[in-house]
Amino acid sequence: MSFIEFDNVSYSYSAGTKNEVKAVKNVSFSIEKGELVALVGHNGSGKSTIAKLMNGLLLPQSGLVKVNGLDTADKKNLFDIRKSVGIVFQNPDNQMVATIIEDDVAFGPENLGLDPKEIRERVDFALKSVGMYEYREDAPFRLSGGQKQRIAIAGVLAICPEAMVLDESTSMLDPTGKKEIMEVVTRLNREKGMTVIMITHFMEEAALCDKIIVMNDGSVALSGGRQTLYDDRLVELGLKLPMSCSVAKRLNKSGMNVGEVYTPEQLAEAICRSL
Amino acid sequence: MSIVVKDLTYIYSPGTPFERKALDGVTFTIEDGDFFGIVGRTGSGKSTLISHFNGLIKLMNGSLIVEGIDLSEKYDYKKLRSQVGMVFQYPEYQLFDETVEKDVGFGPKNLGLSAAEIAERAKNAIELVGLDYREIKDRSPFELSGGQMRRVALAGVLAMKPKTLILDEPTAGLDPKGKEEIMQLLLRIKRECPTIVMISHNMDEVSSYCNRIAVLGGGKLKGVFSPKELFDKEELVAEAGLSLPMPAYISKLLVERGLNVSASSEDELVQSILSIWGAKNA
Amino acid sequence: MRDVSFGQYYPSKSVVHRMDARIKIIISLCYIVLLILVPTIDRFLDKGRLGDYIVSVGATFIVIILFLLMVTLISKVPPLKVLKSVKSVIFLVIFTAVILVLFYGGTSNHIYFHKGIINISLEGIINSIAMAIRLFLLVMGPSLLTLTTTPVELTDGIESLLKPLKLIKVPVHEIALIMSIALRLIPNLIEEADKIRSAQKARCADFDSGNIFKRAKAMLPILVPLLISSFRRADELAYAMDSRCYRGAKGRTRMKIMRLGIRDLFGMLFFAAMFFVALMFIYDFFGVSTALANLAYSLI
Repeated sequence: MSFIEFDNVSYSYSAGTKNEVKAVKNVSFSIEKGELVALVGHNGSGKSTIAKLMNGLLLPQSGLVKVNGLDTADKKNLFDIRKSVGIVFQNPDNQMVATIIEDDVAFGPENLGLDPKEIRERVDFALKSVGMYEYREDAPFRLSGGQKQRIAIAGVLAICPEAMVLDESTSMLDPTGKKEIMEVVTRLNREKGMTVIMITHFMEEAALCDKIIVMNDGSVALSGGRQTLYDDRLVELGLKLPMSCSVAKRLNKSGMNVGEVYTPEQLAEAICRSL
Repeated sequence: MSIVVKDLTYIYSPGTPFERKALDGVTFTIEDGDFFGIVGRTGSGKSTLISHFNGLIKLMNGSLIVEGIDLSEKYDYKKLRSQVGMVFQYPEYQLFDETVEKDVGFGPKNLGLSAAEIAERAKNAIELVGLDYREIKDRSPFELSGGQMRRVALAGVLAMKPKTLILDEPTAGLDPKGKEEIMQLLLRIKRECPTIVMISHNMDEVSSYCNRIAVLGGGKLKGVFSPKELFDKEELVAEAGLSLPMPAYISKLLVERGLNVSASSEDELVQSILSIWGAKNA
Repeated sequence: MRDVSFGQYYPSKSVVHRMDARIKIIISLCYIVLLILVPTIDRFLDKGRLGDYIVSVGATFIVIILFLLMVTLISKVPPLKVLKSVKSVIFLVIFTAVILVLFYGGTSNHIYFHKGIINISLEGIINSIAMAIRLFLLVMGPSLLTLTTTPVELTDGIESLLKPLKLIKVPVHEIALIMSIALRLIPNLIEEADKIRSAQKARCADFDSGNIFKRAKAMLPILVPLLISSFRRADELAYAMDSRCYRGAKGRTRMKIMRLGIRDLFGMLFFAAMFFVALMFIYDFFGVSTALANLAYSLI
């Protein structure tokens, strides 16, 4: 049994009306515990719908979504599923419920009905994990986008989920903010073994993940390990490769063999090696 | 000269505990025909600066001449705003009218133009942003896709027939394909609206489209550079919260490893690596 | 605007700030009741002299003002901030005071001017001054509450105080949550409205001229996008809350538990003392007001 399983899942918005939009079509994939997965594709390829299907915010109209073997369509399971799969959304301003940072982070554990002492411990732990502990008594208005998004991550962490889905959580941030979030997320995956699903259209972020699922027009077009970035079909889908990959690809084609690299640093090393 | 900024200073909430200097003695000039980039961290004063350009923020200190209009004197704000178009961040969130055509015609209507002229301008603007006028004009702007909405919003500003177009992060939130499309669109718009000023956090965009780039930090102007000049100043780039454009970054990594590479595009990068490789193997 | 946090909370770590919000709310309510108990001149002159009224009401006001002053000093809120809170009602008060002076219809023995319904008398003037002071005090007290209590503490306090209403199926928790989310979103909405307004102004929209209908219509290009974005926000927020295991009040606990402390007891005692002294002057307990008035008369 995989941790998260999508089995032939379809979902349409405004189903049954003339405005019906088929967002997800017969999608199947699975995610194991501890994986760092990138779900990539153009805007409108169905990525965000998949995020909401992962913890039962949306329910499949056909097919099955299972988390830890629990069916999201069964109402009884929803609370347990949401305890194990948290989502960080795109707009940091639209996921805060409280006017004080620590109160906001406490919202999740409060919903779990924990004891005040335990909530306090979790809030402190979560804020420290994202490096925002010293801001705990502040209001969020003055924070930068990256900092606000770290608070949102803390809000999910405080629930102590097994998996975190980041639904384009870096797309509204400036480069500094993007970097902050990627650092926090990869650290959580490596050090705490948290399963992380990055939904993104930045292929540079995908290059940092172990596994890549490529969505196109509501279906899974490609999936596999990081080497998927070297699949020619990716370019055919109109996705822009990380420059390290596209440069390596062109060098390989010209006969200078630098192999498959994923970051600028790896590229530079490989070039020096093959000279 | 399109925009002449001299000694511009602006303070938010002066005389209160919340007092904050947003701009501090900024002086520079944007020439006609420039594709001018403005970069800097969040809170560096970029937005305050561009809001001055069409009189949305009143001049507090210093002087500002935009398209020949001196903003330190009394001026016709309608004339100013029709000459200087301003496209804010996520402009699609400002659409409001029942149909695309009406929304795009909002600006010209405010200028008091005739119905025929308004319709003509709306049509031209919608076509200029690459949308099918006949197909889209009677649709509600709210049922369009995100990319289309952004184009409609852009058309709404272009319908004022500005000579200078100012954009605050025109590609924010779009996927790479959408970003590329908007930037290509700006190049096309530039034929009709010769001066473009753009705030951006995307170094690859700034370096491949802008001819001059102003760097702001803490309300002060750190300088105006050509892309090439800017990327040699690594500290300044980092201070502005930006990362080097990828080709420049990879070049830098190679230089650190003893190779002589200096590239500003992917093609250049591949060419120069291959030529070094070719020379070694020859 | 977006630089100033919402509400007029003035951050400080004073005893007043740290007091339990529930106690502060109860005290504020009693304070309002006290001001309502201050008699108007009509009710008084039936049984007493004008001087008695001035002494009784004047002494009460002095006690209340002293109380406000002390609370302000202890709370470290700049006194000017408290005074400024009356700014919004100043015209209303002046207008009412003028009306009261001109059209005073109660018992009056010292008439300065009389024509038709206009009747200017000493009693009328004193009455309107008393009313003005009363209104100012009515605004200043609660504003001290909001200056020293964060909006969150206030909503939590109200939720806690309204808890008994749960018995009659009032959704107290939901109401409190709605209030706190509204407080959270107001700065965002203000910022957004600001942005949209600038964008439409950049397209030469004119919001400041024409008659009231024209102006109302001119607001549409701001209101429509604002409404749409509010719906979008609400939608996203609902997803975010669901995703964070929200199930309503059922099974929910809180991180911060409100506990009454010694400072709350002192706060209450201090207020109770002021309350009693003020009542003493109003109702002439132990004949204090009369004695004071007699003393004043004998001195004159």
